[in-house]
Order: sequence, then C-alpha cells, then structure tokens
Amino acid sequence: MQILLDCVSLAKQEKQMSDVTRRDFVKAASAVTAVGAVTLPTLPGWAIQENREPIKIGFIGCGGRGTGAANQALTANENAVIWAMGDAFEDRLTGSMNALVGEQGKRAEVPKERQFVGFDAYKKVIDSGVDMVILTTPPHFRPEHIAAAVRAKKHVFCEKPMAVDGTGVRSVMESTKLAKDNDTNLMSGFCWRYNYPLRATFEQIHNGAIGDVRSYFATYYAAPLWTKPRKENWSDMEWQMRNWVHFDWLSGDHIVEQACHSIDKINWAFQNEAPVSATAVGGRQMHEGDERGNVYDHFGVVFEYKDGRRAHLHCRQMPFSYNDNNDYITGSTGTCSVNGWTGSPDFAGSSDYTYKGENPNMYQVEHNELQEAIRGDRPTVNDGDFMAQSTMMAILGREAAYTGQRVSYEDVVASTTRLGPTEYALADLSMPVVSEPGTTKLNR
Amino acid sequence: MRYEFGLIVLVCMLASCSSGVDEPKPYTQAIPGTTYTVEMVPVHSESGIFWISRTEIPWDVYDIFLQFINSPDNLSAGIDAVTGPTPAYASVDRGFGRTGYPAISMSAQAADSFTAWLSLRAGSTYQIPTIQQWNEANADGGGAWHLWNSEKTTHPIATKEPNSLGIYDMEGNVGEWVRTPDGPRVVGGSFRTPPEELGLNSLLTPVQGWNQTDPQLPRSPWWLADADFVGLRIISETGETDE
Repeated sequence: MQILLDCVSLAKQEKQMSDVTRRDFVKAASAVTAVGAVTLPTLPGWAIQENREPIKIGFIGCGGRGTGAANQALTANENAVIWAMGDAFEDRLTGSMNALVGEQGKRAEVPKERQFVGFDAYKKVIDSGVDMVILTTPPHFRPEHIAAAVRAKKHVFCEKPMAVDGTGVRSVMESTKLAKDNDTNLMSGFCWRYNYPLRATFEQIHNGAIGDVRSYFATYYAAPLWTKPRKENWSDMEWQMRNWVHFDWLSGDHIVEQACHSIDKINWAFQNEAPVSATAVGGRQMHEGDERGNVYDHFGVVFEYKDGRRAHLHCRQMPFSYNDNNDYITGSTGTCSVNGWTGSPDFAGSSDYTYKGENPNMYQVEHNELQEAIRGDRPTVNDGDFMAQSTMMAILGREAAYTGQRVSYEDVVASTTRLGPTEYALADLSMPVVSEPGTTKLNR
Repeated sequence: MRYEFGLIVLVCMLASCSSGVDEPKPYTQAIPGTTYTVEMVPVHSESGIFWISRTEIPWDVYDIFLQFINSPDNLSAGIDAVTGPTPAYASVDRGFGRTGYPAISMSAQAADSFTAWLSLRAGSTYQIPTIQQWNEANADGGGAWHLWNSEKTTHPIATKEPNSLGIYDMEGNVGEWVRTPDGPRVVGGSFRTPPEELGLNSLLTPVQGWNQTDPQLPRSPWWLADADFVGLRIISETGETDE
C-alpha cells in the first residue's frame, strides 16, 4: 500500500516536473543540496565547472542606487550573476558595470550581447532568460517595468517610489495581484521595512505599546540634490532624464521620490489604512533655473483619517538649513519618536521599550531576504499592497499641494492624470510647467 | 626667582626686537564674497610657526564650499572646475544641527578638496594639519564634548573652554582629519569617545565600515555614510597675507 502511494506521488512529481518552470527549478535545486550538476548550454563556463546553478539577475536602470542594489543582490547570494543590463544611456550602463566588476568580479561581467541600451531595453533584459530583475530607473517608468516583469513571472526588486501618478499606481496594484496569483516575489525598496530596529518598533506599536495611534508627525528636511548641467549634444529629453529628480513626471517630485520613506512609515503605523483625504501647502521658494526643473522644494501635508486621526508630513530640500528626518508618533497612552538615521526608537508614557538587538545594513537585508524567498527558505515576499498605497499617499500629498484643494484618497486613486510624454524618444520635449495651487487640476 | 623671570622676559623681548620679527598674532581669514570668517591662532613648533583654526570648521563655512562646488558655473567649467563633494542624498549632518555646528561626515579627499578651494579663494595655502602640528596645538586645558556629556550628538563649536592657546574643541566634539606618513587619520576623539581616550589616544584609521551603508555604488568618495564623528580643522604655514 505504502509503495503504491509512493508510486502515485512519484508520478505526480513527474507530471509536475514536465512543465516545471526555470524559477521552480532554481527553488527546488537549492532546496536539495545534493542535486546533480545540470549543465544548461547558456551557463557561464565557471558555473558549469563549479557545479553551481546561478540565479540570473536582470538589472534595469543602472544609476548609483541601482548599482548599489545590484551589488547587494550579488552579496546576498554567491551563486547570483548579473545576466543582463539595461539603461537608456550607454555611459551609465558601462560605468555601472565597471563599478560592479570592481566589487564583485566576474559575476558582474555582462557580455556585450546582453547589454541593452534604449527605452525598450527593459523588454530585452526581461526576455534574456533572467530569474529576477532589479528595477531602478527613474520612477516614471516603474509601473510599466513592474508589469512586464511580473507578467513574465520574474521575481522583482523595485526601488521606491513605484509610480508618479494615479494611473501608474493602478497598474502597480494590478501587478501586485498578478504576482500573488503567480506566487512570484515582489519586493519594494521601502528599505525601512527591512530595518531591524524599526520592525521591532512598529511591532511594539501595533501591539499597543502607546495605545491607539492618534497622531503622526514626520519630517524629511534635507538639502537640494545634484544637478547635471546641459551638454550641447543632449536633446531636451536626455537633459530632463539625466536631471530626472527635478522633473515631476520623472521623479514624482521630492515628496514622492524621497519623503515617500516617511509616508511609508506613516502607512506602517496606521497598518495600511488609507487616509480619507489630504490638504497641503507647498511651493518653490529656493529653486531657480531650468536645472531645477518644475518640482517644488517644500511641502507640508495633513493626511486625514476617519475618526479624526491625522498624520502630518513636512519635507523640504533647501540649502544651509537645519536637517531632520524623524518620526514623532502620539498614541492614546504614550509616545514614540524614531531617529531617522538609525531607526532606533524612544518610547515614553505607557512603554519604556528600548531596542537592544542587531542593526544590520537594511539595504543588504532586503536582498538577503529576497534571495531566501527565491530559494524557498522563507515565504514568498509580496510588498505590493503597502508599496502601492504608500506611493499613492505620497502622490495624494503632492496633488493636494499642487492643486491647493482638499483631495480625497478615492479621487487620487481614480485620477486620470498621466504625467510625462506618451512616446519616448531622445528628441525635443517642452519644459513641464510648475504647478500652481488654485489653477492646477487633479485630472490634467 | 622673580628677578630671574624678569630677566628671561627682558632677554626675550630684546631677542625679539633684535631679530626684527613681530610676535606672530592671530588673524581672521575672510571667505571672500561671504560674511564668513575663520579665525587662525599661531602655534610655535619645533619646525617653526604655523597657524591653526581656532575652531573646528562649522557647516556655515563648509556649506559655502559645497555651494560653490555644485554651482552651475563650477560644474560647467570643464577642466577648470574644482572637484569636490556632490550633494549627498541622505542627511549627512544626521540632524545634529547645521548653523554653528561642526561640519561632519566628510572623507579625507573632501577635507583636502576643502583646503584646496579655500586656498584658491584666500590666495594663501591652507592645509589639513600634520599629526605633529595637531599635537603641538593640543596644549593643556580645554573642555571637551565626549561620550558621557554629549548625549550622542555634536555640539556647537567653541562652547567648552578653550585650551591654553585659545583653541577650542581640540579634544572631543568631532574627530579631526590629520596627515601622517601612513596616510590620513582622524585624531582627538569625538562626542562618541570616552573622556579617558580623547586626544592622541584616539587615532583612527579610516576603514570601509565608515561608508558601509551608502546605498549607492560607487560609494561616494566625498561623504562617509557611517562616520558622523569625523570633522576637520585647518592650518596655514604662511599666516596672514597682505592683499
């Protein structure tokens, strides 16, 4: 009887193996350590020699942060290789690969035929036979890239923010659902979710350490970011893309691109409950010149939740000013402030909890956990719900400031606005206008 | 005894007169085009006199440098551009405070770039002190912000007593870049250093761990993501220039 059962299960396994995907194979191969050498013809020579089955990484958007993420992915798994790379600009791709080779050696050497340049590079990277992708282009392109990667059943690491407008977030929400259905990993670059002290802090808060969260005040006071002076041979499009943080259609503005970290922490504290609406102030007080694009340099947002709870965000990018990147959480029985540099909490009132554990580099933790999930050593990661909502909240705050109106969450989710050009080419592109409260419309 | 002391003073005065050299004085280095200044204090050393900044360099002055480096004029100046720190993505001041607080988190390369820029601006050579010069300026006395009184943050410059040469925060507050035959080091101890380890006892060799959590690659050559205890002070071997 037992033998019969074994035979049945074996037959089942064989049937399953017949349509096994490469992703499943990687999972299974690493789960069974004694698996024999499998020499697919596409493997690099050294991998065949060393009997290793590499995780093939497709890396799309080869800027400074993306290159950092790729380095962390390689550090997380010694069997990982950068299989293909894609960027809009060849010099960025080459510079990135050189930096990675300097850190990780031959595992980052991508042959010329798998280096893809141009706006459609992401498709070619996804189709090149990779297991996972790192999506780190300017955020404008993210929804399309996430959708393509998830549809192709690739594991995804995507940097924050996930989109720059409601149209983009809706796409990310669909991709989130598809990744869940397919059981593929979808990890966000909301790195504080992977910070040990902050995880412990929010666990305390969710367990009632300060009672019910009544109010949240977050700051992201920082300095202006870099600019790239225009070169003569650059088209409008190239110039805007190389100065992407200063254009709302590319970055989402700094409230979406940078302060979204603080907004994600607000969202974390409120356990992914969507706010009802937001009102905001914002403007462009210090930014001058075309290099500074059309973004604002300061925002102050009040997110209103049902039952009158409020979360406040102040963020700015101004020179010579006091910087602060902290969180001040008020509960019904106590308070907690969080140092934005270390993530270490300071509780008062009903809790005197202090964090005494480890504080490993959160950027590395992200990729360690993603690789573990790909191997099947931890449950599949899907950050989609909170990453889409935190991005949506950041866009809500921006739209409340841009329009000067009290904007409902519902309306911004349904917003038909799609920022930026609909066709991509390194060609002429008009200078986007600076939004004016009272004039700029939510649907534009 | 009193007679002997008087005699020594007299001899010194005569010697000074006979050599025709004025006693070196402190002077104030203006940052041209701004209202900011750096006070320089003379120090007698075995190899001659040099001047050292009375305080650690505050953000106020370092920010002028950062602004210039990242100005469109400098960025588009091609080979004539001064290379220096690009704007940091993260808050490299850690939220400790900006106006009046010591500049922190700069790499040795950035500290050198700062002195090169200042030299160009001032028309006079400024440098990071050698460890010997730093030690000669680290005279008796002086208060210090250290691990047990700092509450784990930097403090505004010159808020503890100066040492006997009138120099502030040689020990504590922030460690300071110095030049050594083995390369740049950070000396003096900081707000993170126990009081018994301040001064020359705290001589740190820069390591990769000082810039481990920079999320970008290449990691910034200008900013240290994990070294909030590193600052700088400058010296001049020529003193005030007449311009």
